Amino acid sequence: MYSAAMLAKELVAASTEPLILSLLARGESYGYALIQDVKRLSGDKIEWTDGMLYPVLHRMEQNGWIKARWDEPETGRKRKYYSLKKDGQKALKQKQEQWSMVASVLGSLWTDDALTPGKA
Amino acid sequence: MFNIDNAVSEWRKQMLAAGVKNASVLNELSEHLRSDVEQQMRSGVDAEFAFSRAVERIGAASQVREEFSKVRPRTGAGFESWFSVGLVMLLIATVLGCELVFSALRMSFLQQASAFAALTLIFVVACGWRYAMPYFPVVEASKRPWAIVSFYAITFVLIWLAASVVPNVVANLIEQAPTSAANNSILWLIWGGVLMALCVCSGLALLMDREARQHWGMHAGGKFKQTEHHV
Repeated sequence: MYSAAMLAKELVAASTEPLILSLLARGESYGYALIQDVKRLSGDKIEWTDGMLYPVLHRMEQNGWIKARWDEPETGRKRKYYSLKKDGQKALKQKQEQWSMVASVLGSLWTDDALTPGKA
Repeated sequence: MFNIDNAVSEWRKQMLAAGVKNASVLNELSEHLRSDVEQQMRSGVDAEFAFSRAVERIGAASQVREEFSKVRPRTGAGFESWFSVGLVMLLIATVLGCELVFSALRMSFLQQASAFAALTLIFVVACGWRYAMPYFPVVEASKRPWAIVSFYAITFVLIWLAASVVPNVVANLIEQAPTSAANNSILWLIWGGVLMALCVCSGLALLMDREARQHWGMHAGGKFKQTEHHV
């Protein structure tokens, strides 16, 4: 479903929703811009398969986390913009806690001492 | 000479033929294609090549259709409010209907109170079982049929035992006098219904995996453990 230059596809898939929620917390955006933002912020290490982002966005919309509206910017073409809803903010908070917990556990395990053979 | 409008139109036909028929989805993906082509052209890529690369990035039509088919539509707020109105009307009709039947059977006030208490319990169980979801374990798919069969076998025995005893005990306790056989049968049925509702709702809860629970807006389960636990 996803392709990633450096990260395992399972990790990319698991991080898709938190990434989208975090990006939309900064302000409304659209599919193409979200892909570009993630690419830029990850230094090209996370690369979503373009067509697969949209089903995720639609699922998040069905979940009530984000809402969408069609708008016609200066390009003259209609574009679908997504923004965060209240439930999305709650979901983001929950995901922040979960990912922080994982990061903190791994961080404490990956100290130099713990990685030295014979020391634990 | 390459024409982006014709190319997008042709691409849309291919998506339609592959089963991606939602106009809104096609509009959104078409807009994505155009944005991608524009971006590539700004970097000096030839329009035709940029388009074929953008189409490749979107993915095969069958793959896109497959992913979108996983997005199941949720019932809207309109449906939910009409459903609530229907439920209240059904409740009123049930209460009135039961009152007519109970009066026709010349049930005493206390017998009627017992019957209505049972009906209220059935209603509470039917509407409130979704909130008990955190207390139901998520059963592993391979073990689910056995869990369901065992659950129903045990509850069937419990229902049979309880429904044979509870109504008579209740009726006799509140009346402190023998009740007619017909009225007892009615109370037997209604209190049996309470246990039946409990049994059906618990079975449904055990049948649902994490995804199904989340899809219907319920708690994913496993209140007491961080990880998924299996029966």
